[in-house]
This record gives sequence, structure tokens and C-alpha cells, in this order.
Amino acid sequence: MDGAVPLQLSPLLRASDSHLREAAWDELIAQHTRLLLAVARSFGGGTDEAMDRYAYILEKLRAGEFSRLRSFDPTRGASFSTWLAVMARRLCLDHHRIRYGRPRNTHDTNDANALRGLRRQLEGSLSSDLDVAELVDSNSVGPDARTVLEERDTVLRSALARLEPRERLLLALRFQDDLPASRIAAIIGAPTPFHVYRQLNGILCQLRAALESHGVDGVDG
Amino acid sequence: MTHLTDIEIAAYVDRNLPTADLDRVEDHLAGCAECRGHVLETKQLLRRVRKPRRVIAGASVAAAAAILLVFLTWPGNGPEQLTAPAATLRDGGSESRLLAYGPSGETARAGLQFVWGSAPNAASYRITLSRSDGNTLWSASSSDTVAVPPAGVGLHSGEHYFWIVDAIIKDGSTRSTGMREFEVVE
Repeated sequence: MDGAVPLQLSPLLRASDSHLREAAWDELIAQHTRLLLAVARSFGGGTDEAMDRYAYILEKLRAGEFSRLRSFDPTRGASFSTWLAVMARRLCLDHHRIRYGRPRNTHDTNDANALRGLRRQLEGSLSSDLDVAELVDSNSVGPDARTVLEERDTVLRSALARLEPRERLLLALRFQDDLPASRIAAIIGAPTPFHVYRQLNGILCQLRAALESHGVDGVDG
Repeated sequence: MTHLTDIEIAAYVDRNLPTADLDRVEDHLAGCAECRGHVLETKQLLRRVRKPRRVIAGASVAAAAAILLVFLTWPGNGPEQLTAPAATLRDGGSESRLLAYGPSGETARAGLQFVWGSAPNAASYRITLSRSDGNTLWSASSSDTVAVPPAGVGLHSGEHYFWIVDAIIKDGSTRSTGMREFEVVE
């Protein structure tokens, strides 16, 4: 933490005796219990399981003379409560892994599969003048069409690599995570969902132009 | 693959990441479903936890209703003065922004009404309700600071909608609530 102790943690981390430290710990937890309970509940299961996770979070936050809390750096741009939420979520994931092994969820896919899914959806939307909200999954194609798709895949891969990080992230949020424009806007800080739609349309136009410049034709259905 | 640190994820969620780090972090997020998941889930969680509790809004409305009732029963008050206490109770807020009371976040379709703060010297208010694809569903002018969409305006559960109110001031200027979002739930 380079000596910069955040205001919220100062009473706890600079307490001169155990009595003051315990009082500061109780106060800190009281302030953030609602957040920590929400994190614990967000992993499902009943009340007992949620309380197990909550207790695990508190245990780990105290461990090593509050070493996890000491690692918070207020100069890195994050608020303490947001960082605490991220930290608590990771602890809940650790708790789940200890009990049940590695959790399977929609985010636990390898990158190759994710990219394949994205390209399939992009190929479907680029083969016709579809709205970004309407995607065609061109799964069933013949050998000739497959050759065209592979050629398009190469061009798409190259075009994707030339996009800005923000543009690639927009595509991932929309086509891999299937998020609506309103949620994407909240994540990337766009003023309204309309901004997201406009950006996505612009990106698809770029990709379409890249395909056309390489003479790659569309594939029906 | 080296994943993002907790502090980087938190700073990105707070949209307070140093500019020098933004491209690198977004580049990683574009290719890492795990870190994207952390960002998405944390954002959702904080939105739920930080949402103002309905019981507080309800108490404010009840208190406002009680004060209004006292004013109405006080001798000498006529119907022409009904707008004065309402305007006082629903203050317009800052100089530049019109205060928007609701709806916000998850909202029940039944009893849906739009409420905003009054603006000093406002001639009228214009409310516009849009779907998430940008198409306008309903637009109306009002001299009051409450509006109820007509029955013909179809709002669907699970859908997100956007509304904005512009106050037209008598000197020709305008003030706005800015775009507000809500989600219809059953």
C-alpha cells in the first residue's frame, strides 16, 4: 500500500491496542455487512450456505493481521467498497472450489471456443443487412460454403486484430456475453444505450468493409 | 494468461482507471471471459446494493402527503394554490439539472407514473418515453410534474425503457432530467 492508508481502514490498521483494533473491525464490518452479505448470497444456495460464505469472507479478511485489507491501494482509482466487493467475490469462488471443485459457469469457456462463437455470429450478421440485435447462426453450410467461411474467418481474424481494445470489448460483451445495450453502456460508461448501438453498427461496418475489400462474398443462411 | 488484479477490476467498474491503463485493461477484458465475468457480476451486485431502498421513498411520499393534507385543510387555501406546496415538496434541484424522482431501476408496471422536480418559472414540461432501441413510445406535454402513460403504451416485463423530461422555462431556456432508465418487472 506504500504507506497510504485509506481513511476507512486507518482506525483498524493503525490501532494501538487489540481493544481499539476490535472496535475498529466491528465498525468496518457493520458498515459493509450489507455488501458482503449480498456477495455471499449471490452465489446461490440457501441461507446456511450464504452464511458459511460470509463467515469465510470475514475469516480471510482478518487472516495474516488483515493482510488482504492492507493490500488495498487507494491511489489506484478504485473505491474501497468496490474493491471489497471484488475481493469478497474471489473469496467466495475460492470457498466454492475448496468445497466443490472448480465451478462450471458460462464464463468458464476457453478462448478458442469463445472466438469461434463470436465469428459465427458476426458472419451471420455480415451476410445480410441485419440489425445488430438480430443474429443468424450460420451453422449448417455445405463444403463450398465452408471454404468461403474459412476464408472469411481469416479476414475477420485480421480485421478484429486491427480494432481498438474498446471496440473488441464491445463485440465480446454483445456477441459472447449476450448483454443488452443498456448493460453494456453501464459497464463501459457510454451515456446511453443508443451510443452502444451506434458504436456496434460502426464496428460492423468496418468489418463488412474489410470483407468486401478482400473480395469475400456473403453466405446465405 | 495473467488476469487482471482486484484493484484493476474495481477501478474499471468504478470507471476511474488511469487513462494509461484503460487500453490495456479493455484489451484484456475483450479476450478474457473470466475477468469480464468479474466486472459484470460486480457491477450488477453493486447496482443492487447501492440502489436506494423503496421504503425510504415510500416514507418520503407519505410525509409529503401528510403535509399536503394539512395545507389543504388549513382555512383560506383554494384549489388555485394546490401547485405551490407540490412545487415546494418536489424541489427542482440544481441550477442545471431537473430532478428526476422515478421510475428508476426495477419498476412494477402497475401504477407506473413519472415524477420529477419542478423548475422555477417553468412554462411547461415535455416528457418522452423511449424503448431501448431508441424508438419513441410516448411523448406528452404537461404543466404538472407527474405524468402517467396512457393505457395504449405497451410496456413489457423484462424490457428496459428510457425517459427524459425537458422543462421549458418562460425565458426560453430549458432544463432537463437527462436520460433515465428503468426496467419493467411484474
